[in-house]
Amino acid sequence: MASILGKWHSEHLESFRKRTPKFFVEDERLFERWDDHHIACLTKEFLQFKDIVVQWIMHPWERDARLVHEAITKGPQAYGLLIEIACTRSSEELLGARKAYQSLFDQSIEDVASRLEGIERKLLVALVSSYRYEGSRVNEGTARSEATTLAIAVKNVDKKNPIEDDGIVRILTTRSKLHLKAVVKYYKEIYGKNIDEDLDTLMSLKETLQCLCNPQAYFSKVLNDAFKDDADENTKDALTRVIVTRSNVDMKEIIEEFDKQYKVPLTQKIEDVALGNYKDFLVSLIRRVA
Amino acid sequence: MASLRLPDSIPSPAQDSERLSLALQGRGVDEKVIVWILGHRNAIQRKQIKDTYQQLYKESIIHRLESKLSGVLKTAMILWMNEAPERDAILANKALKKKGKKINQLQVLVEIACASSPDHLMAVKQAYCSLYECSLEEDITSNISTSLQKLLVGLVSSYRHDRELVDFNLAKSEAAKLHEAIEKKQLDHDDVVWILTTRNFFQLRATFVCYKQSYEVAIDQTINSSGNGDLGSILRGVILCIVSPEKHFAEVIKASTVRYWTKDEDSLVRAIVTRAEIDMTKIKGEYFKMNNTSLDDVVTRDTSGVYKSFLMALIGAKI
Repeated sequence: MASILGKWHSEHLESFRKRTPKFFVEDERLFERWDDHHIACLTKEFLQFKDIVVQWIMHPWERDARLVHEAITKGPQAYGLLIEIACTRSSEELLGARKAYQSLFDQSIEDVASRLEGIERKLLVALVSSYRYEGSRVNEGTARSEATTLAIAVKNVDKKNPIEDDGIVRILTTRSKLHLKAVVKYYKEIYGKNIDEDLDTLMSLKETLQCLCNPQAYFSKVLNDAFKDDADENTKDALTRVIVTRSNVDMKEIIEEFDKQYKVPLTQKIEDVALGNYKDFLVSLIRRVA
Repeated sequence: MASLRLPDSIPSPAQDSERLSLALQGRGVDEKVIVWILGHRNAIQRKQIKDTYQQLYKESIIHRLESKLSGVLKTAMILWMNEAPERDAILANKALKKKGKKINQLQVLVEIACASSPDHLMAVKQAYCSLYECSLEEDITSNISTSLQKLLVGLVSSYRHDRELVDFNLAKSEAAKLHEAIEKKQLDHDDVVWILTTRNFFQLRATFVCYKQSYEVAIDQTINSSGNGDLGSILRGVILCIVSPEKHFAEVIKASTVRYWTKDEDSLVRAIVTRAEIDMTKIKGEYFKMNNTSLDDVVTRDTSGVYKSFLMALIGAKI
């Protein structure tokens, strides 16, 4: 663009304006006026392109630290993002984000999280503080009994919200991801249904478990929400965030899951909603793993 | 300040390895040589010896020491030869798995979380996962009563900020929150746990000072006089480790010895081995203030043999 546009003299520019009625309308005072909607589109596209470039190049620790900071600033509506980062990163990556947060904002994440509003606070502090074992050892007996503990807590939801139960929070925030997958498996075996069906009214817990045990399904859903026509800015921002943060992790599995869930290729949905250089960047990040 | 004394000129790791190998050969073992060398090498030098010994003799020096040494000298030497994160992971695991453990045996968890740097705590957790195939938090959950879990898990999970940043208004308001919780005997209240486990150490020291200023009595004394059992005991340990780790370890050492014998060898070894390269000189100062006797004299009096020489070397005693 720069090499073409930058060479134009005023006659070229005028001619361009006159020949592109989509972008420029004839104003009553006799000049070609840029259509506001298109300025807005261009601004958005450049902004999205800038965001994706900056985020892509950034160190993953700094990227996550800045995302966490953004979520904390936005308040309870953005707690899902805290859960996402705390649960879908490896133990070392999460520790890295905590280090970067201290460098950038002169506080520890857990310190800030302990002063958040809302009943999710206990869960959030424990999630951002976690350093989970990542090996293959699972104690099947413990997993089985913890499935029962969860079931009892879910059943007693009217008496006490499980999210405020120390025992439940401890299971979700200290157990390894493999162990929690075993807990989910035993839940299904013993009670005959998937635990996320029973957690429908407890969104934070449901998201926590999904991020820990099935991040590809979680990210597929986040992407699908971002493609909806009535999606707000925060929801749309997820498109950049998910593609950039998962590109080197499990993008291939997310693409497959998306295809399975929504019966349409991810690349096609991106073509539908994104424009210009921003779209090209997204597609190239996906293509490198597909 | 470290108490460990190093010789003016240090032999190369290869020379040290050779002499150690000779001392560990054959049917016997020359404990004096082992203590003479290893008791006068710092952490970096010991690591170099470990690596060189492995290269030269295709064997881990720690395994060799384990097979040749015995008793309390073995315990001390193995701890000394492990790098600090592995050493503390081993100590934590030992404390958690001990049957019929008393509350003061859990002190080691408090020490790791509150008397060392946040980076060291994280390194211990990484080492723990590698060594024991589960996280430190999980072993705390499996081996500690529910009433203590929340505080102990919180203490070892937190990666505190290491800068000296203090908000005095926050210190004042949190001193008030702590006071209220202690009065109501709600020591495991979420606020108490979050304040003590997530604030940086400088902030907490300011909070404890505000507490004393506002209520005219130190916070640990309020906990003590409220008679708050095991949890209270752990909390007092937390506060002391944050405010003055030297005093804490001086107390640990004092409690471990009785005239002419050591009633709690593990605690004595732990205190000396883990602090020899950190603040043993300060600990000796506190010990003297507390007991009007020097630690050198007490170790001379209450321990014996090559083990005694080893401890004396670590505390920088003049032999």
